Amino acid sequence: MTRDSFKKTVMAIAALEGAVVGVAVASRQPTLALVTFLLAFWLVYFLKTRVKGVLQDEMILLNSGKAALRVYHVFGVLSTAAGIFLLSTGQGDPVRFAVGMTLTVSALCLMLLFALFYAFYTRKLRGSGRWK
Amino acid sequence: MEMISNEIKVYRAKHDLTQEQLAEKAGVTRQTIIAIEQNKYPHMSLLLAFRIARIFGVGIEDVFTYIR
Repeated sequence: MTRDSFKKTVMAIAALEGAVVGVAVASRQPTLALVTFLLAFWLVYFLKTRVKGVLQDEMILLNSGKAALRVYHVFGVLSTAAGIFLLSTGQGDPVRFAVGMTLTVSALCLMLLFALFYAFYTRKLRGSGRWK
Repeated sequence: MEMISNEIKVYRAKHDLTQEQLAEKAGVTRQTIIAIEQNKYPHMSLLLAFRIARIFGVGIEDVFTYIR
């Protein structure tokens, strides 16, 4: 499988997965939604191993890193700000409070994960430390 | 302004290699070779620079030039 055909296949799988998950959620079938998601995830992973040639190189990794950092900044700042605002103004309103808490905890998890992976790769590249 | 110019296009022509063929030999995508040729990817690794020079059978400074 070539890189281009892999990309097209992944797009088709994602579209199909979205449709099936959408129907499963609308018809309240959580098992179907979860199985579809996991199946699609596995299928993409499997197809990735079948691609001939280079799928990812240093420029793609560099661009991915830059994009990930932007996502971290944008999502981290926006969801923390929105979460804090909803938490502070949502006293007595369980829905606002729940949404605020979800946003704040999501941002916190994102920042924690980022810090962990950053520490991991920094130590790995340094060539010493616990994760060598 | 710092930059690295390169002679990849010239060496490709000498060795009768397409961008796709060079990319395959260097273990990168064609997009990366295009970006390097057009000086749009100055953060290329030293390893890749050496690999490209080795493919053409010349030294790294024959292909890449540091300009300040």
